[in-house]
Amino acid sequence: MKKFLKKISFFFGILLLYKMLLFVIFFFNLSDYSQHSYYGAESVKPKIVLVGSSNLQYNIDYQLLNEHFIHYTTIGCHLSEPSGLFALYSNLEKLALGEQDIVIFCLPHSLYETDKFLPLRNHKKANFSKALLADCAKKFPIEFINSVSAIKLLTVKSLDAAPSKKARPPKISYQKSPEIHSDSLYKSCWVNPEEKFFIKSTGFNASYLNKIIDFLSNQLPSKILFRYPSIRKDLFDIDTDRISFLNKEVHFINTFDRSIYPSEYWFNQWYHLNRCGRDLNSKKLIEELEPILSALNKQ
Amino acid sequence: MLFNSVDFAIFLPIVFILYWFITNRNLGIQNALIVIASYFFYGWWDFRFLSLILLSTLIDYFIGIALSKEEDAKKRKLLLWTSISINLGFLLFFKYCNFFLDNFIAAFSLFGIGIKANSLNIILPVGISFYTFQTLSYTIDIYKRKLQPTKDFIAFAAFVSFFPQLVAGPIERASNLLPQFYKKRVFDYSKAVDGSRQILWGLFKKIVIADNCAEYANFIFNNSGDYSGSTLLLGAFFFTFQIYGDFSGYSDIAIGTARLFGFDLKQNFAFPYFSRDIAEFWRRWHISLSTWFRDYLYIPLGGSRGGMTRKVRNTFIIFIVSGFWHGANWTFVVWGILNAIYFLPLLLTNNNRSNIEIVAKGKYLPTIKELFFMLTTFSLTLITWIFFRAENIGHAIQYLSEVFSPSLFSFPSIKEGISSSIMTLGFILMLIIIEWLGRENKFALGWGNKFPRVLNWIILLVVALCILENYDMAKSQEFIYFDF
Repeated sequence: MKKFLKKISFFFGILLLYKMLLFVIFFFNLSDYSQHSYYGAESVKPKIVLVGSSNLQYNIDYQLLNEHFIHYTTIGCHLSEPSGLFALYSNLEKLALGEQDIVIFCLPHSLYETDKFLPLRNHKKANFSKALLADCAKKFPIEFINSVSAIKLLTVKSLDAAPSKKARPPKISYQKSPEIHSDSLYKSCWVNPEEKFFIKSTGFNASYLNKIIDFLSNQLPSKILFRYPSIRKDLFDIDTDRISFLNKEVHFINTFDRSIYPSEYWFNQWYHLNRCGRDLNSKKLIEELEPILSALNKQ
Repeated sequence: MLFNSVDFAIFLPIVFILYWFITNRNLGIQNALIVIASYFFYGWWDFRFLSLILLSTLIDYFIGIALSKEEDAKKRKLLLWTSISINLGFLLFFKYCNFFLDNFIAAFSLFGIGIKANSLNIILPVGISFYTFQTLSYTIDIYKRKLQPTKDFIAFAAFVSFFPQLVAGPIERASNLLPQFYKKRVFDYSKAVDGSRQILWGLFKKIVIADNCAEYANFIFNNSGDYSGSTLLLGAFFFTFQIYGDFSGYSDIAIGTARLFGFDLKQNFAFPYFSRDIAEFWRRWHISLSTWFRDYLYIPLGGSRGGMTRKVRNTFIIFIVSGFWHGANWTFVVWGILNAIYFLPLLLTNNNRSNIEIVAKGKYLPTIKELFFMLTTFSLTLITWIFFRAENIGHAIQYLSEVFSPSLFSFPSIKEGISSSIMTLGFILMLIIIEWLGRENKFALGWGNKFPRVLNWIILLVVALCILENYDMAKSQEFIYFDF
């Protein structure tokens, strides 16, 4: 027995060493700090923060929202979808939110999945940093180990191509609210005749989701709301059980049906609306927010 | 609990330590530990269905004892049919209820009679087809007086629920596995090393081969209308290796795990893709199910005794039932019929047992003739897998008609990740080479000390690194055969 245990331990020891080595190489090739940028502007007014990925860049007219809700400043807190949920949270955390602020998670459905929490395999497209990894290890150790296990030799080999390799000092910047999409890109309500997309759902896990939702409610002092992101009709094969679960567990300000848009409202992706779609979506958001804000004001 | 999950990686060492260090002095306690661990293993998925296993265990335990005491032929038959009805009743209800309901409605609608009924929301208990067949064989063997019933309930419960093979086989016979629960197990170093290697190889087949192939097979099958014949053929090729890697990988992990605990389970796969004809393929693919059907269906039906008509009839029955066992869908039935049609010429010409030994035994390479027959058998099998994987028969026919169209001669193209599909093809090549080199053993890496120590370690480490490079904790994929 001793001989067997020794051999097995030695074998696993080599494999563990290999994994650790990959992680060390990966970790020391990341930049020290993440960069944080938002849509909107810094303001003393209470904030309405929309959290999401590229859908916030395309699907929301910040100017319209800021003109409508004059007592608030509307900010788009976004990172690209490959950055994963934890990086989005970290981006949000830097805004130093208070009790008067409102946070609306408008996450693409993929971000509700476990393997999109800290997808280190996406490091080429994402904004990972040493500080982000250390923070994740502290706050979500299990999810962190899961993410680290996904570091492969190929991930490490492509480190040079990663955007965040060079260390840069931390910086928070506010981008101007995006202009109405320029005509060169969006000719009125132009639709890109794209073919089918390969959309794959992998890691739906109810306990993971509950954990994340609890974490967000405990960590953020602001009012937390969720919103179904706009999705393109006919491009999704929706799991109704999962939607029912979300409806039960999460406070959504819109209904799932309201988030579905026909094909003429789409630009270049399953989460990117064109100009007409964006206008409609922003108006819908205003309709959804008005009763919530008036109720808050009465309090 | 999945074999390829972190949960199992924690569960296995704990049970191993408790088994060999804490409970090893008392056989009864050791068996009880197996039962507890097995129920925990199964309950991790859904504890409600433990009641089904327990009920099945209790019924067959008491019927087994009653059968051995009963001399009256009628009463014995009644006891046997009670066991069969209850066990198959569970299986039919959970697995086939909606299928029969839907087909019943469809049949009536053909005559213009509309029946409104909703499909029932039934969850299929994982592994029900496997443990049902295992317990059935116990009562049938006692009925046939081939086996003495056990009076040790814990040993019997351990036999029914033994966690390595509970959810996806191999389907064990009581005559092989049950006596192993009566004997004191002594730790055997070489058995444990062999078991560990087999687990490693099983993980390779599942994680490196099956899960990678699944990506492309799913994508191509789900969008089959968009692809050329050559890409569809590639999709079928990926599925052919996905199903093999998935199921034989599970069997390897099951057998290897059992060996760590001192048990010997039946070999379930014996390099089936190296078969030279379909009869040989079926002697090498899912052996425990094929032999189950042979012993409990084919032979009672008369087997190959009697005239040719009876032989043919029995062959078709076996293959159709085997297809239906896999799932409540007509595609599986057609899959079975196709296999029967392939088998028929060999049966009619009495050539169904001409290839018993493994191909090119004692040689490095096969002859041209052997290679030709292997490739032919593989191609025939690949066509049957299209039916196995397709959503319905219409989908399979459409898929096949596109495969056999002029677009078969175009270059295959996959929209998503062509480079990683080439890597997957490389892994398939690695599987074929290792399996070829190890084909005379019980499993590919079971070559003992055939190679120098350093080379042996290098091979094992390369296999392990391939697993690590392909494994993603956050998305361990279920085994296909869990659904059967």
